[in-house]
Amino acid sequence: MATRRKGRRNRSPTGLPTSDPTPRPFAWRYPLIVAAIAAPLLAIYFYPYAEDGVMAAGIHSYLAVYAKMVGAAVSVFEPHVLVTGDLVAGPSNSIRIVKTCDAMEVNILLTAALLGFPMSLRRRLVAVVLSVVLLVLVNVLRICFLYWLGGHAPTLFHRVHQTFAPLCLIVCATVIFLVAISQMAPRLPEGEVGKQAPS
Amino acid sequence: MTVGGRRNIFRFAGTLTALLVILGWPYSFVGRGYCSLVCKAVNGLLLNPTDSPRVAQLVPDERPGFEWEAIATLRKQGAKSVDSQFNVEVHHLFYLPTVVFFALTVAGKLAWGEKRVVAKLLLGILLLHLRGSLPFVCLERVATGVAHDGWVDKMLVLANESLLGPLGMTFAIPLLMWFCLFHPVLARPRQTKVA
Repeated sequence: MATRRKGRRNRSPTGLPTSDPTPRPFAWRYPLIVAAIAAPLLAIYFYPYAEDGVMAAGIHSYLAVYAKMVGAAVSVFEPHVLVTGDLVAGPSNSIRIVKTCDAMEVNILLTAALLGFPMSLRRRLVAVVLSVVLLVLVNVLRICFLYWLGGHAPTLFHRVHQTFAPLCLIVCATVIFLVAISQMAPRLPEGEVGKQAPS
Repeated sequence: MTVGGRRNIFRFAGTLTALLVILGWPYSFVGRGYCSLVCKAVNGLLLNPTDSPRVAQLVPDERPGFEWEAIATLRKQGAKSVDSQFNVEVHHLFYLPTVVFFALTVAGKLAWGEKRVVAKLLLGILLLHLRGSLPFVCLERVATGVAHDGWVDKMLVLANESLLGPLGMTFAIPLLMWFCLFHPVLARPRQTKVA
């Protein structure tokens, strides 16, 4: 009981950044909050909906919008690109934007990690909006690079698509998360870090 | 565990690169040995009936150039049974998440002599391999006719779709698992001077 009280007193106001040993209740509370936010979002997106249902149609429309974004980005370095539904077709290559191409799992995890972070609601929402926009831009660049790779170095496409591109995306998401919390988390006077509970 | 210094980042990048290089290793026994171990473990998890031929099985791919892959065989039971076979990228399902988790763990300052640290590392690797086995458990339930539209199967399918389908989860899951098991703390706390 004494340990628990001590742990609560030492809880870091910014969550992670403290040189004190992380107290048990906080160490488990944050991952549980993130999991509680991420699980329903992942379930909504990845549920195997009926192909003729409303949700499947909605996701298809959303992917078509994503394909238009990719098409616009690809047309910067390759003219005569046509976007039909979720298909981006150009002279050198054509790609179809399917359900996981939008990196939704990374977006959901980043959103949950930021929403669960102990700071004010306004800061959380601003952090989520900015981070997701940035991550979508990074993902569009990833798809553009894969499009280019498929046309110019098809032998490398599979390895890069399966291994290196997702790794880069996760690293980008981690960096975005760390930058977001370092910029958005409440600033405290020197010497106060690790002494106050979050407000 | 304290992380966030340059040394941690370089150690992580170095370990990950070294372990990724193994994927392109010219000696095939590394990949084949790993595949054999994974296949034995997955086959041990599947509840195949003992009185009839196995309905679901994972065997290493013997073809040259496919050292890191395995072949899953599914024999559907019933009158209109049709066997189906498909390739499984073992390196993607099992090896990469394990490598990322191991590299993250090695990058932090750890007391390797402590049993708790070793136990956490082994627990993480075990959980990652159980995650990789999930699609085979789902397929086996379909093949044996155990699967129905109950909530267990819906949850299994959903877990399979969301935890194994997206490519990013290959790296996100070990990162989250490392975070949960080792509770990393950033090396330098952020402080600001107040006038």
